[in-house]
Amino acid sequence: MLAFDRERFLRWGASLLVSAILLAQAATLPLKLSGHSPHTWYWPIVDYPMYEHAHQVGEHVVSERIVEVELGDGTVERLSAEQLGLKFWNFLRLAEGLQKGNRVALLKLTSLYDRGQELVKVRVYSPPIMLSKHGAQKTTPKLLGEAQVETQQRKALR
Amino acid sequence: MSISSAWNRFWFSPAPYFDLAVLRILFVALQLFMLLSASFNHLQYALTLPTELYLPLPALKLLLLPFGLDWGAMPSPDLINTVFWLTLLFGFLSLAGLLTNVSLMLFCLGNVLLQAFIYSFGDSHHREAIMMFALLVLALGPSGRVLSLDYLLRWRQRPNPGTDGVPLLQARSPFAAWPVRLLQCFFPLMYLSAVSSKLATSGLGWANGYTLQYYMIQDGMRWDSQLGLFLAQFHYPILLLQYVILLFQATFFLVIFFPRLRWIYLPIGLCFHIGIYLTLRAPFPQWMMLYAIYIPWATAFTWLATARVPLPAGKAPLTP
Repeated sequence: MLAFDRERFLRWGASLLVSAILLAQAATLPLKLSGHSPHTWYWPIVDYPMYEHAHQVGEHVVSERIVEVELGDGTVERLSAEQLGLKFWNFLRLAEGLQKGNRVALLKLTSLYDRGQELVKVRVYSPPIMLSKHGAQKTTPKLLGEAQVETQQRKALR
Repeated sequence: MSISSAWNRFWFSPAPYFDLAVLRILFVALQLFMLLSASFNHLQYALTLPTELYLPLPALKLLLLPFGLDWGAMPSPDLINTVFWLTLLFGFLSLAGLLTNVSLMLFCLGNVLLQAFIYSFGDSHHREAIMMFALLVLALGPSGRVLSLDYLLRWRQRPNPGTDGVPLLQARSPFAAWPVRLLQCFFPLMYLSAVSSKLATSGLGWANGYTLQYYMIQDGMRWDSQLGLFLAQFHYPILLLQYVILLFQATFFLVIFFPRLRWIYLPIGLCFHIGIYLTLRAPFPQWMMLYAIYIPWATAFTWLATARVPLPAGKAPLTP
């Protein structure tokens, strides 16, 4: 009967763990390069795409998103994160979805907007700042996207 | 040398218990501070968010299973708050080094659950991930062997405490090496991910000066960083800096094979992360603290303990 070699067992265990963690993290590289990165879904195994997008002179600097909603009575209201009970990043993610007309984002907006008014349309703008060679420069806001709030979503609000 | 020998030599060469213990104290202390100063508020905020925003990460779903919740169900505020306070308790036990491996493992799991919960509402970030792995490997290694209450309790039970054992800074184990080695290899993978993302998404055109100017203005406006907005005016220095960033991230892995390079890379890395915090208001305290894995603590303390101070001519040393 073979004697149990505790040290050898521990080395094997540690080696397996080390290999699993490093291989899992290393796997995010080819996934990212192939365009199939799960980003942070498998946190704490994540890729690190911070600041990956290049920018050019003359671009609008989208430091935040200005969200405007058109109401049933024709008035236009600007929404803030505080009004919806959200912090900066949650509001930003919601606004990113709204500018693409994402249905889930529109449903979330209709459930968060609790002023009793009917939402008809939502528009998302960038702030009026442009990138120049010498830093920030004032300009006019840029429309990033707009979406109709569908009847079903409006019914959900009533 | 066979692959097996090379593997054992890299991962299991005897390493000081002291290094692991110092890292345990540093990382647990920082993580306790982060829990109290930031995570608690984030948790309370997350608990107020509507359930429509709840998208549980797989890690959270797994860790909630022992609590009897349905797969993907949202935990109650009472459960989250209970986990928070228990995690804090295990953190203090780990810091003191009492039942170190058990308390550290529970501290690690508690942190993963809480952070995964915070990140289960459509927004997640990158700074905590490596700390979770650091806590895990410290929990699985002999990080409580010295500089801990476990050490004191064990020492009191020795029949000959005055003559038994080896000097603390010299006590080594083949299992004290792999946790530190793992983290030392993990860091370059993070930087390689960052540089490959930049190059894959934007190519070498990423380093055009305008890219970093844009982010300085964007984050300067978001977080009211006047320094970021001021520095965004200087195109050519920023252009040079962007090339340095790419080079740094792409070559950081050399530190594994040429350890002396750490004295170049670590100061540069610290400057980057401090600069990112001051200009872009992007805090990465965990990454900066984790640079401690590259410091040979036992060697450093031994050197300090044995370093000599030259005396003026004719002066005798003062003896206690």
